[in-house]
Amino acid sequence: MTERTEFVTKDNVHEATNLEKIRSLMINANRLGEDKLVKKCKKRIFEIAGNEGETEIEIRLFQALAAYEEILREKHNKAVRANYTKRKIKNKGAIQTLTDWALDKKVTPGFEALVSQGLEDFTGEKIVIDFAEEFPVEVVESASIKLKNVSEEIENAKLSN
Amino acid sequence: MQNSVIKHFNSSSEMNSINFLNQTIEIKKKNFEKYNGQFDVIFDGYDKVQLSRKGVFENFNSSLEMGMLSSIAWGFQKGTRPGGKTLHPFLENFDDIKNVLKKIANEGLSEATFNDLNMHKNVKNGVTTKLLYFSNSVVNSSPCLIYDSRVKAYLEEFRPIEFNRTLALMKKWQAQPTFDLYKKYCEEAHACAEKHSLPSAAIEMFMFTAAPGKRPAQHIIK
Repeated sequence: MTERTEFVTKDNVHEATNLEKIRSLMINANRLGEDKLVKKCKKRIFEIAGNEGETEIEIRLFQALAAYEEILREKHNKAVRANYTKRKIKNKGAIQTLTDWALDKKVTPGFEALVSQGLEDFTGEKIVIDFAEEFPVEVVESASIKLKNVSEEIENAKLSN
Repeated sequence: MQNSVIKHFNSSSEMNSINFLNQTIEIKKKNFEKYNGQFDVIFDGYDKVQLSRKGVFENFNSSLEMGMLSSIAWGFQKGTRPGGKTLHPFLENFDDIKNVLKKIANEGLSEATFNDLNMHKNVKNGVTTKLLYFSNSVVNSSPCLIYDSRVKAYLEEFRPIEFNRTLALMKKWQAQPTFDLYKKYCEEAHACAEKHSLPSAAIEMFMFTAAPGKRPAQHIIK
């Protein structure tokens, strides 16, 4: 339905499906310092990527992957595909991929960037927490500790600024 | 402007949440065969049964054991928890859980009994809050309600004004609710329900049904 409309705007971006138009809106919003709209655009871009998944957890994982690619795009200023991770999901499955991410003690810049932008829903760790019953207790604990530590660091940094 | 669960409820086609007691699911005996007959009492010789919320409440009235088994079968009709994990942790700790529920029935839910109920590995709020709800447990004069990943997803996404104090206690990194969070959730649901002349479980069921990013609920309203 939104496809038929000429513009993607702040009012319809949540249901837009044209990535190019959403990205264009995001660039303009970024230029104008409209952080909330930038976040809305990002969320929508990630949500669309979830269509590749079949189960609820796969949908969330593909959204997280899109978020990771967006971080890479921002860093390198060009589209970068997370092909290694996609192969891993294909070979090992969503649960094992998320388990490996959660158990990895290393905090990546991408993870920090998403949390600092209030987009933690698109991190693997948050998916593990949201689907806690599908993972071993130690995996959920590891994901919780990582997200807690990074969230608190970011909060403290904001307060000290 | 903040969202309102009541406005969402009223504008939604899920208005039959008010008939929450008729929320029913078909349960097949074959899904529970792996538990060596521990669930047989629910089936009463049949291969499948239709179990509604009302039916589970009635089973709790007949016996605590029957109520506990019915609650879990109603909540996990495939005979497994999400991700295909078995219900063995619940069954292995059945007697301990039963004793805590008895205590809660006499004294009401406290922080100590909440923690006792949730102390077993792989028996967390998805299981325990169903037991609290169906056993008619009470926390600080408010009826206990189901608080599972779907309700949590609804609250996190829509952030309804009626649950402001619950939301203030919710942390993104918490997989399970603390006692304070669960108590506040039940209290705010109760206050909202009283104000709008609804059963608080109807609000819980609406949030369960309208949870974002989740598959459609398998239960039907009869």
